Amino acid sequence: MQPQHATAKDKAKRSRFRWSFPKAMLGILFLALWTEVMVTLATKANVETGSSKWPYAIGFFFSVLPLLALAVYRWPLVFSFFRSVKVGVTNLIFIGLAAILGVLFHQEDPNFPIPKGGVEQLAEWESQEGPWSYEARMAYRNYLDFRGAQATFVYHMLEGRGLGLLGFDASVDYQFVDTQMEELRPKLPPIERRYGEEFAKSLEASSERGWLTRQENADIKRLETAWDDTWFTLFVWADRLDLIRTYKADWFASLWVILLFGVFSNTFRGGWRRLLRPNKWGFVITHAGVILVILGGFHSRLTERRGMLNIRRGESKAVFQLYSGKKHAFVRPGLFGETEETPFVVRLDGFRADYHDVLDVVYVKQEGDSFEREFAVRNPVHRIYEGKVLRFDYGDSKDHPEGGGGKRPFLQIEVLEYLPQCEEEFFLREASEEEEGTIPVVAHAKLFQEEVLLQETLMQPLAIHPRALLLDERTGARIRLRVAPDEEAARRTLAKPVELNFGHVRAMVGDSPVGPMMQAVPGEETKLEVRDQVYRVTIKDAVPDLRLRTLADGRAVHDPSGVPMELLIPVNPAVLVSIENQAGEVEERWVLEKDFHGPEPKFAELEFRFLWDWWAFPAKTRYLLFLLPDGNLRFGEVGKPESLQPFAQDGEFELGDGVRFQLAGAFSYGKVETKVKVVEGADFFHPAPGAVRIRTTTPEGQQEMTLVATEKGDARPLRYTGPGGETRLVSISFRLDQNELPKEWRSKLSFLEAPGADGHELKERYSGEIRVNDYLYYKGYRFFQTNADANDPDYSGVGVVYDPGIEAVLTGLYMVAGGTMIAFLINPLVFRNRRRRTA
Amino acid sequence: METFSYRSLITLTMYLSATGGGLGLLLLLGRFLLPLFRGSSVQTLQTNSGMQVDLPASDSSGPRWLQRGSWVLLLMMTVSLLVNSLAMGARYVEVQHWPAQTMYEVIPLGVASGFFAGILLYFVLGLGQIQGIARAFTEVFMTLKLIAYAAIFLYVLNLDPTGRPLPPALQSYWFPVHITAYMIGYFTMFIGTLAVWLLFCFRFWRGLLQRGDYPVPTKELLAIFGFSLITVPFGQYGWLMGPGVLALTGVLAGLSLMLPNKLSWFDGWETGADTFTWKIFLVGFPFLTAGLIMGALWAQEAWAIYWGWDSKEVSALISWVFYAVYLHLRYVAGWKGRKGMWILLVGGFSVYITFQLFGYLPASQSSLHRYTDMENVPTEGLMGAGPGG
Repeated sequence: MQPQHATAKDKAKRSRFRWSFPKAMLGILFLALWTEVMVTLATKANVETGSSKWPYAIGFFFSVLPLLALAVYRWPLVFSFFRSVKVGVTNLIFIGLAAILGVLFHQEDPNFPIPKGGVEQLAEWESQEGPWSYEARMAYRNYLDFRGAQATFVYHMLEGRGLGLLGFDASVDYQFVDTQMEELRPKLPPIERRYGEEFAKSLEASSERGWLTRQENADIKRLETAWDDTWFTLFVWADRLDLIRTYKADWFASLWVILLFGVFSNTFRGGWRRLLRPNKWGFVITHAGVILVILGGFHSRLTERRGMLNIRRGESKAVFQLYSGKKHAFVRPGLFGETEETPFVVRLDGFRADYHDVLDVVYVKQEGDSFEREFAVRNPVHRIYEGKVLRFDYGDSKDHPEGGGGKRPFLQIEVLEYLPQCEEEFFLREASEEEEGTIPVVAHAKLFQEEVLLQETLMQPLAIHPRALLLDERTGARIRLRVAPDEEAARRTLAKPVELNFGHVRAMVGDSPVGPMMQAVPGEETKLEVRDQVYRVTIKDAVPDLRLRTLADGRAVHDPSGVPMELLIPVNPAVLVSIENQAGEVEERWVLEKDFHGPEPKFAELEFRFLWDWWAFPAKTRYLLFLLPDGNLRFGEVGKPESLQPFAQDGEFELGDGVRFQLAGAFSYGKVETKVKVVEGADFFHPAPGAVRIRTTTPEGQQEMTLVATEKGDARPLRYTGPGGETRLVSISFRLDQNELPKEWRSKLSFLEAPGADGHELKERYSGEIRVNDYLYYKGYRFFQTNADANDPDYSGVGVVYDPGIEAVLTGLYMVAGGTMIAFLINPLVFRNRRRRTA
Repeated sequence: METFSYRSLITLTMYLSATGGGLGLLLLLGRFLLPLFRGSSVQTLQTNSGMQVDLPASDSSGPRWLQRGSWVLLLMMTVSLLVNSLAMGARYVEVQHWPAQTMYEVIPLGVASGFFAGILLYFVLGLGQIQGIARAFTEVFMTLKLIAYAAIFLYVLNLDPTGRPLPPALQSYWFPVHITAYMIGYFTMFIGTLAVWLLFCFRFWRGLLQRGDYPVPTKELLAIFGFSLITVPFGQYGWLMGPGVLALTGVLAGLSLMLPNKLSWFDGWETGADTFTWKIFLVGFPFLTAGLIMGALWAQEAWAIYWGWDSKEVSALISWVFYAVYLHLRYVAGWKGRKGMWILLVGGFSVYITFQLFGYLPASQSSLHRYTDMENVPTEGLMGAGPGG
């Protein structure tokens, strides 16, 4: 029996079809073409309606038949095809060639593909009437991108390599670039000495490349139009052959199917015992991994959903937008359509984009009152970190007070500390009269409720600053600072009651005042003589916060908030004046502190200016803090002279309702200093800016400064003596670099679901943070940070993906990595040692 | 320039590498000129990579400094690697991230990988074991690498050196490992291409100069000559690696003809060439595979898409498929020897396109991988208006 069996096997072997490389090539091409035909027929049969669908359906039936016949009657041929290693290698070559085609043709955006028939409509636009269809417009948009990309490639590959373009005269003027560079180079050494070699090199390199790029781009634009017919023909054929969507083409998918079967049949041939041999493990694991990757990829292709969740802080959404533009609910889609699940809801609880903080060090020159950059070039951008040392302005050491030999920097900036999230705290210190930037008679006052800081301000006597006092809307208290020659004078001042006043009104004609200053007290009246007219002006009303409401007759009246005036903060103070001329005509006009464009006034020649009195308007209690000549302080309530008491520099006073007044220093001359401190317990979403503490070293000595990052950067000047005794002026600022992408952006998401079929209230099931490179997974959906808008700090663009094929692909990838390592690294070492031992 | 800045250190690496290259050229001249004054007999040695090397016995007892020549080159390569690594460290401190954001950073990282791969291959291929005149191949191989690296640094020093912040997508632990794996893979494959090219160049000259004893088909001679011209459009570096290498090997082959055994020292190299280049491939391919897979895993973490058919991904895949085809053809279709080596030669081009020409590919205009593009802005304030502007 054995010999007979062996003979039959040998016979079968002999009769098996042998696939050579050319035959394998033909076989694969045939299958790819056949796939295209079948998919086209099946799609048409599916899309067409009525009788026109039947020819396609019949065509599809007859195209499937030969394949089925081949599988049934010539199974050994089919089997040997997939099992042939030569077919496998040829197929791999085809995949490589297809990938090459894919990169040689500009690919349409898979998220915004050209609609069906778009290219045909575009090709026949001349014969069509009316405006272009949506399909044709989309195709044209794609064509412009295609033309630009192909022209760029051809230009750089041919003209850029000196090979020339047929019938096209490139016009890059290298002589011009050389001239420009010759002009530039002598200007670079002073910049290099000031800003360093890297910056000067950067200017040189980017300028040369920039001049060339400009001319090349102009050439490419000309090439686009000069060869427009060629590009369009190429575009039409690339569309027909799916070369502009290579990786989505059915013929490309057919190559992967052949690869899948080929790898499968070759990996597991020869019986399972063969797979257990240690020297085969690497091979088996790698190829099993490839199979998983392809299978996972097909699963992804059939089921994946991709889109964007455009959401703002505080919003909740149950749907996201697919890249196709359709909306999709957060439910798990099945292979054959959507499920009946109730969608979950996503809520954006927090979002922040954190930009890089950069230090700008710019040399400026002063001309009169204006400042301008010393070198008309872009500023060097310094990204800083703790310990970084920046050196500028290299010159001869002999010019430096410290002497020495060679060159040395005349300005050095050392970053002593970088605080990523901090807050600026100001404090008042006593200063001498001569000191620059001092404030006369000043106190630093704070209001607390429990431990919460409600407000803080600098208080000054009203004669110096009429608004520099403290108003509390909770207790209706007012506190101000006064100077008193002694305690007795302070007591007398306290005993004197405050005369009620809402402010002062001044009539104006043009820029000149007319008549006396009026007290803004209802009933106050005065007569004004303006040229040949006499006006009677009466104060009718005064309000600390004007809110106008338009009545049915068109008149605008004040709509009081109902809060007692004592508890109001003057946000929009106004006074109502009544103006009457000699003829008895009357105009009532609201006069505001701020600019106000109300209805056209009847007596337009007469204008009024008004200033609210923050101290004398109704209050529940008024307190005075007295600064005595010896620097001591006294504090008391107005109207109660007996309340006068000594007050410490850090004294406190209870105003009632849990509100506490606290002093943080009061001096005859004070200076405001800032202190930067880290925000304790701040997470990423806290908007506190970064700050940097730097030390500058110049021939004049060392100086420390702390800079808080702002959008534009608050410039601090620094003067020093540079090389050759020249005076240098440097502007140093710290800013958020919004020209670059953010350093990081993060969103805080919560996932909510209905508790049950009858429940209406959504319950939070899960929450977490996403950042780029760190997504969140919930019920099959992956959420990843992908977008932000610098102009809208509340907006977050969250990418959404539903792709159940990912797990298989990832497993496959790990297997390929592991298998390759075993095959190429472990096996050679293990088996070489074993072979050596055996030998 | 500050002493321990990135720029000063890569400048120093360039000088070290160039010095090594210059020393190598002097060694080669000595190698071929000195034996002219000596007698010869032949002995055969076998190296780690399995190649048989025939060499005149008298050559093995040449001056000691000649025998130590390749060690000097190895030493220069090691010192260059150390300084290059220091430069990368300095750049890390300067820009506060793994220095692989711009071409000014990526290329030196690649050259460091090239130095590393060169040193590794010296031992893997047993280049130090070869004695006598046949050692000239080792020396020309290492000399060319050193000259090429010096030339690359010269190119890098003329690039825009501005450091750029890392965009959020690149702030990942995959960034250093993915890029570094690719750089080792790329530069090892470049070394493989150079090895094949050197072997072909010597074969070309031998076929031309010893036509009777060593027949080489005319179409192969034309193919080798044609290949040397393919690199010409790529500027001065193309001239250096194409016609430059062909000319250098021509000079060395010419000098060899004056030796008693002429070019017979090349026989052993040719016999072992397949194993030699295969071993280079075996070092580089796992790194290419790792780079490709790590890229997919990273993309999956960043955009929840393991493969987006982005042109950079596809370019990398094309190179990988190229070498995978070589691997399978070698295993199952017996494409060993020169057939396989031609694939390795062209494979280097594929890697070069992925690494350097990718930005020009039509499909790359909307690629997500265009992180290394320079901002090309003319310095307007210091220069006049351009044509049309």
